[in-house]
Amino acid sequence: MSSRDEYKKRIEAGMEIDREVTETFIKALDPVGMESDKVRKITYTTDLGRTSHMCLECDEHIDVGHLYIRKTDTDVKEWSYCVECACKDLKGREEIGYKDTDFCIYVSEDVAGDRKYDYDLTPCVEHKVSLKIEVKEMTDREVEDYDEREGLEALFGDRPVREEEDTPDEELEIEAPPAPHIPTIMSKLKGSVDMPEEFKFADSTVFYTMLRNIFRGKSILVLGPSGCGKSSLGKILADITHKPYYAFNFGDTMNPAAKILGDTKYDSEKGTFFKKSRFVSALQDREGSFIMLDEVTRDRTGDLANILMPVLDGQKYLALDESDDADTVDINANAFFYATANIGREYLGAAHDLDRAWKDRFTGGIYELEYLPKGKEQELLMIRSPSLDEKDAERITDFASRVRDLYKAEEISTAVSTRMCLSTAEFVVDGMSLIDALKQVCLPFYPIVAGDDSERVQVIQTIQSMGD
Amino acid sequence: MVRRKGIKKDAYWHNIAKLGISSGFKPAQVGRLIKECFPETEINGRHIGAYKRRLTEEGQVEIPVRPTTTLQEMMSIVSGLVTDDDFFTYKCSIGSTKRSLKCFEYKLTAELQDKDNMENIEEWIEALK
Repeated sequence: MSSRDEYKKRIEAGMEIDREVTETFIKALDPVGMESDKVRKITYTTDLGRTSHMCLECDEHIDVGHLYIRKTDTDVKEWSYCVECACKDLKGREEIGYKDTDFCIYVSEDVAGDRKYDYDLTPCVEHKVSLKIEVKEMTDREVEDYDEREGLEALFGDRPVREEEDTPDEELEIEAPPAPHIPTIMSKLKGSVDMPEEFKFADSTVFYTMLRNIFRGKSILVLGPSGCGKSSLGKILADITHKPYYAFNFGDTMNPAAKILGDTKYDSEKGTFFKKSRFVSALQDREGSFIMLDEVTRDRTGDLANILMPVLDGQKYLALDESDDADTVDINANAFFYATANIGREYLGAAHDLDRAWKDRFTGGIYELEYLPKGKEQELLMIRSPSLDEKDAERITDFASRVRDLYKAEEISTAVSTRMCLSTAEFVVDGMSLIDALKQVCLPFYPIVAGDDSERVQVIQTIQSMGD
Repeated sequence: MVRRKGIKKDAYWHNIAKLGISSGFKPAQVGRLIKECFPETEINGRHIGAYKRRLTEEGQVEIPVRPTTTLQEMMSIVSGLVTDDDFFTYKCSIGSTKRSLKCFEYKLTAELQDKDNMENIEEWIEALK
């Protein structure tokens, strides 16, 4: 029997349908059953307005005696909807796939028993009952459509479609498929390379970023106060990457041009000749060298920056003299430049003096290193001087930390470096008292100036406060 | 048992392992392929087995019942799979491990060196006399 025939038969039967509906409704809302489910359940129930209601969605007034939908959940919350909005709400939940909703509208006993309103009931799946309102005589076409459709679509398919319903928020609900995972150099480094013990004081991102820069051949500039480990860090990175290591310290040179390019020499047999520098050999190393440019800001002539400009930027060449037909050295594409400079007001040519163009050449970034945190510094002292008493190590780092606080507060002009701490530890291990060792290592950095509040006095007071 | 959701890592040997696994080789055999390209690697069958489970769970590979090619043929193929960044990562991985080992070695030997230093100091003082 087709659903249409069943429908007609039931309509003719009149109250029989209502009775059946009433029974199933009561069964569905059985409070005992609901409790045993322990699931939050939302129920849509048709009712007649006994007082004036307002639709939660469209703010439309539902007058007394008119049909409206009561939405309830197991938390005994209750909302009123007009029939259209209730169906939209219901359909929306169904499409999203909520499991807490019974996807149908129940018809209450009094509504089902009252025939004066023009509504129609069509039994649906199992014990659930769907509601159809404003039933009119169906055409053959509509009957065919009705047979094919199910559920709410079948019930409300003939109502006028509003424009806003053509553009539902479905786009928001559609989850885009996850993008395919593409490994990158950084993800591979993070997944494969463990941070070495010596590097654990630093942020892991700095470590992996520096490795990435070495791979890409992007030069980096490391800034920091003297003795904080800038040069050591460079040596560690060179070791890790297995690159040939060439270090050039520009703090010890009077003539940067000779150090970078080379110099004229005299030989009794050959006469005067030009000897290329070790720097040139480093640039041409086939394996791609790790070139450490230490203390680049200590060159006061400005020659260093000018000569290195085309080396560090995309041009990648080095001209050996200034003539038009000068010999040039091509730089290996895998050569990597690691420059260090002091930062702080107490250093000659400190980094704030670096000009913009020079800084721009360090495309891998400019990193600012700080002194080690107290715990890590203590650990380092114990590693470097295993005979050092743990308490002495703690006092040395405590002293360094206090002096650094004074420096940050701009009460003194320079801080105590990690290198100074290591030096103090060595003195202590060799039998000097801690106070004497601190005085021996640190005081020369603080000049003798008249007055009680001189830097030297402050540091002496700090040393004495460490006890013996 | 609740399974902890870990961070999925990438590694320099994944390309080779993926090809080997999808060609039906066992983790130990895939390990040999990886050793062929990265001789000093510490990657073993257990690492590869874990990666195989990950690939299977994610549905990234369909594993044939039998290998689709010979191990010798595969060895000649995989060397072409090693990219510059894979090789660089491999070198860094080895370099970092060696550097850490050096650090531990230094810790272990520093105390012994201290004793030697004391003897040297005594000799030096004797010489001064």
